[in-house]
Amino acid sequence: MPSKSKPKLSRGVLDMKFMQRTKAKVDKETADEQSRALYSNEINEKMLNSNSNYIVEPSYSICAGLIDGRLSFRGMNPEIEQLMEQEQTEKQRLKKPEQPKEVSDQDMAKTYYANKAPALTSSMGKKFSTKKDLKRKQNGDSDNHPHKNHHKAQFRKPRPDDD
Amino acid sequence: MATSGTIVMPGERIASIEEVAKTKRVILGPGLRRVDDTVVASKAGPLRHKEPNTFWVDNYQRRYVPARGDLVLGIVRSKAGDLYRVDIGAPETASISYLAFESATKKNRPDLNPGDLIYARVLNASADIEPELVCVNSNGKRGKLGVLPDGFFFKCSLNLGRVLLRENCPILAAITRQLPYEIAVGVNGRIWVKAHSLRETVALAKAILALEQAGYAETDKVCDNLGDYLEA
Amino acid sequence: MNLPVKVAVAKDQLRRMHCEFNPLSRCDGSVMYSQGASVVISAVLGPVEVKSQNLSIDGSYLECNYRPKAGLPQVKERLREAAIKDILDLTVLSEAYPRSKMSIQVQELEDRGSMDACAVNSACLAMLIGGLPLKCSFAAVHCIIDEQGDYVLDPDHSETAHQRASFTFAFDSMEGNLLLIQTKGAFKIEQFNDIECLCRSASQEIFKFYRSQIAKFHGASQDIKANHESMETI
Repeated sequence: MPSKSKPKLSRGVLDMKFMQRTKAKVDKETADEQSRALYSNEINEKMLNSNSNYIVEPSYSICAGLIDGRLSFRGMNPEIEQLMEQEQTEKQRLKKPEQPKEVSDQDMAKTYYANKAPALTSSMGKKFSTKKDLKRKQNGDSDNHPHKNHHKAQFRKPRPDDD
Repeated sequence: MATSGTIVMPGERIASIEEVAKTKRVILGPGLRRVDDTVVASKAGPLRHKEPNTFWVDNYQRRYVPARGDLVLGIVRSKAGDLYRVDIGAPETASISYLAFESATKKNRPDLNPGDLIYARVLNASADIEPELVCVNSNGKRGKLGVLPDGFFFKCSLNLGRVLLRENCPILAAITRQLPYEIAVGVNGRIWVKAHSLRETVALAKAILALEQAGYAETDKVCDNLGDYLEA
Repeated sequence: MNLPVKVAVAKDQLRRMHCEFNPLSRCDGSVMYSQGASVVISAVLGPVEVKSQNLSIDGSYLECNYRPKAGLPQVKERLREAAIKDILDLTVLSEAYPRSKMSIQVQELEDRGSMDACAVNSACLAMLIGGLPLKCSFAAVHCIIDEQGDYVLDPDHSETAHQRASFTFAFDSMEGNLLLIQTKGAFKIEQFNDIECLCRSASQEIFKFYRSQIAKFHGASQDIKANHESMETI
């Protein structure tokens, strides 16, 4: 028997304060051992290693795919109707996830690079420019510096006729 | 879609399901049980099949047996400490914790009294334990669940409830053409309806119950005659 | 009395069976069943809450009550009750609903012979329509040996006056196992075997009747599904 050959810690040792975690582990092991011994004649090989193809589902709602039973029609309860509509759109979305693309991925990449990427490259470029470059920029090219006549993008109040 | 509908009787072995199970996983619904490697019916009624692999017996039944995930109508029976006892028509009363409502806290208890009607989801159900309900979804939101005020409440067979709950049910659509209304159908064979006036509400209840009496074949006729129910 | 006139039925045939589902509204399933002129109503409840003294954690508690046409149940009715309960114990899948009760009530309306078999068959139909889980359905057949020594299957009241022996057999629907044997009177073992065979083949007819009745009951509800599907495809 492997359990006999295995050295066991004495109770005195296990009761020590710093041995609490080991004690819990040992307790669990013995409990497992006992329960296995208790049920060993009722559990057979088939129960342990059978992988059945059957799944039991006791709910009719899940089997038959029933809808939620709380419904409202023609504005009787707007709150419920809103929830129903949300569910409907959600379902529609799930039904056809692949919408035809209006802009191809390549076009998108191109336009993205044209619009966004220059700004990114210039800001990253600053990191690698030397102080000399910076000074020259400030002194010499101040007139046609792009930042001067280029406002930072910000939100503006909509005009009344903007509707 | 649910098709077939051959009548099976208790004890009958269903070879067609065993055939399917050889190649893929099969979901056995109510009325079917597995005995070793065979599938046997335990209830009498038409066998239903839903693609790809779900089978169940659509037997007639009036007594509800709770199953996890079902949406049911229940009547609050009493308060018991942290729980409310709710009658859902099952062998045992179900329980619902007062924390299982939207924005409920230990201080802020929901205002629920014996006799109130609630629409709730079965959170836990097993033959060996008392069923447990909740009135919130996993995000802690109420959604469609909660107390149903006013309206009219009645019981029907579980089958009628299931017929109403199929997707695109023609019965509900037919009633919608007649009048605006709201409805809560529990899979436990309990229905709550509400329309603008009491008269309309009662007519609605009568129309739905007529479906049970008439047999489902006469659905269209009953829907056409809804006007008569309203005048009656 | 407006009882149906006794129709001469061959001695080796069952009398005409007839049933109506759910005549009662408050129980979980009920049936009015007649076999010839014998009529019973059976009702089932279940699974329902059980008294703690009857509670069992590994199966539901079965209860059966048989009520005579008039008066209180006597010894004869108690025996019939016990017979039905014995059959149910063998066929009901009671482990499906532990800690609950399944209850069946049989009310005799008219006893015109073969009452034991009639009660058992109505109990089975009530279980089927009540949606209670069964391992298999069951059917009982009554048969007598009359004074000439002929076998009379499913006898009417009038035929039983001078019987030599009477038998009731119950069979399950799958393997045809015997679930119940009741005998009375004097008979030879060959006669017993003959009658068992006779009853066994007659029980098949009853099982066919069960199936056709369930199909008829659900037939109406299948129309709507067909309609519904056609609507969806539009």
